[in-house]
Amino acid sequence: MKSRFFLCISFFILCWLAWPISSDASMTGGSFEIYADGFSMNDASSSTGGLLSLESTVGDSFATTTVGGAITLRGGFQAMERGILRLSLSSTTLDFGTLSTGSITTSTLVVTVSTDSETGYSLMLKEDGNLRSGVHDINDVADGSVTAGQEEYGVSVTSTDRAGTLPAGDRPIIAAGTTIAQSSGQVTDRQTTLTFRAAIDANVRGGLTYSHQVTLRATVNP
Amino acid sequence: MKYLLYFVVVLFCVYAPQSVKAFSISPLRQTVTADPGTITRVQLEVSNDYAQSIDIEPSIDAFTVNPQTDEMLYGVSSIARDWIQPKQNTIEVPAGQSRIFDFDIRVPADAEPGAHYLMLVATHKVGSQVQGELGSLLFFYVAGQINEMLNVETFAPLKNVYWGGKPEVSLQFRNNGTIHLVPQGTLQIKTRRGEHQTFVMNPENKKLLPHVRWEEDYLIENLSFSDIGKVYAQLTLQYGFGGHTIIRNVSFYYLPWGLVVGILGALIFGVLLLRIVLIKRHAK
Repeated sequence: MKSRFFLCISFFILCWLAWPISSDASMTGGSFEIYADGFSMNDASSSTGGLLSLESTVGDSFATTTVGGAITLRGGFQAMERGILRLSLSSTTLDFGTLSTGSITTSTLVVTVSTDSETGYSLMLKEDGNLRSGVHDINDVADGSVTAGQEEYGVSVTSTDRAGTLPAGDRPIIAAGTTIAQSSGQVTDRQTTLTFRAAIDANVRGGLTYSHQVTLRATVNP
Repeated sequence: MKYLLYFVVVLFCVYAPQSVKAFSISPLRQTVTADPGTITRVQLEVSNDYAQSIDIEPSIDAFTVNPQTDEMLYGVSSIARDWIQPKQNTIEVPAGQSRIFDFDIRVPADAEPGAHYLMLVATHKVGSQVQGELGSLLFFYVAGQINEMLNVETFAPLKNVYWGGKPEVSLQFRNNGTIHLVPQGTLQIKTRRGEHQTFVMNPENKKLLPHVRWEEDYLIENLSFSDIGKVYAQLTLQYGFGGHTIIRNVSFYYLPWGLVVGILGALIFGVLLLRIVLIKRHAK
């Protein structure tokens, strides 16, 4: 009778322990992994256990030990913030048609970004080199405005998220990249319109096809 | 029945899914700490919302952040870029589906402990002239003893003597350690009357990445005639998990010219008056 009772109790405990627990987060031992959907960059909280401290902010997320003031990072730690970052481009080409000395030609590209990141996003524009045809190229705009009759090429950016660091007017596109739009929180279908503007003077070699590749890169802010 | 049908049709038109042409990634950011001499795998999921399949090319980049402007700077040099290799070259992601990209991080056995700020990049070549990229931040740490070091390079008033106006104190410090820091602290301004103004530094908990300089100028407001004399600025800066503290003091003179001229005028007037009195007494 007694053994039956203990068998029953053991069965119940076993069932209770083995019952699946629904959770967004998971953590495993050894080379452990933490899924951390709710991590916030401004959360400076930490959990400690003896000498081991786990800083729970993505980017700051690491296990450390402190001995005599020296900080040691512990290996085998992984954490991630899931979420979503989406990018769409309205066009696959930059089509200026035929350039003439008497006018400015334009081509428009609309970039749409969505993210559920609490830190927002940054959108960067870069190029693989000047607008060119072989050794001939069209100079980047330097005075903030593409003017008809002058050899100038640049882009103007319109967006509610237009980066504060981006000067007004037509800007040159540079290979290292320039942040053109930024948000500090979640956005849904946030649009940035890029108007590429080109003008030439009589010295620009005619009869050629000028092109280059531009890249729009979106990331969440750290 | 007919009206119900109309309602359903209208409802369908209103709520019909928009034609979304985009691709997306997840996770947005991840953190990995690995021991030297080990191999760790990280993943990036790419989803295709286009109506047709797209080719995605994975790559690695490194970044830093300008703490003054919050601008992300890409393509910075990082030795850890060479440690990470995408397992696949280009993957075709069918319409409406997702694919996982694997990246293996091979940490050399002699790698120095510290932090590396990387990005897993998914590139979609939309056309020959335009391409879209999405970057997932990777905070990668090599395990071991890290070095938290912050050096104050400049802490000084712009002038030694201010004849009025708003004095300015310039502060520049640099993260010379091997991991990012969140510097915090205060700048206290004291005059002969006591504490005048306190600036709280970095209330947004911004990160200062290694080899990056923090620059900030503090404008001291509302100094009055009664604050004339020496003004002290005390910097208390705290950073790191080791709880490091830096304290610096500088001073300058605040001598508002109106008051100085007034005092000098009064002195000269007093001296002249005294002289006249003495001359008159002497004449008697």
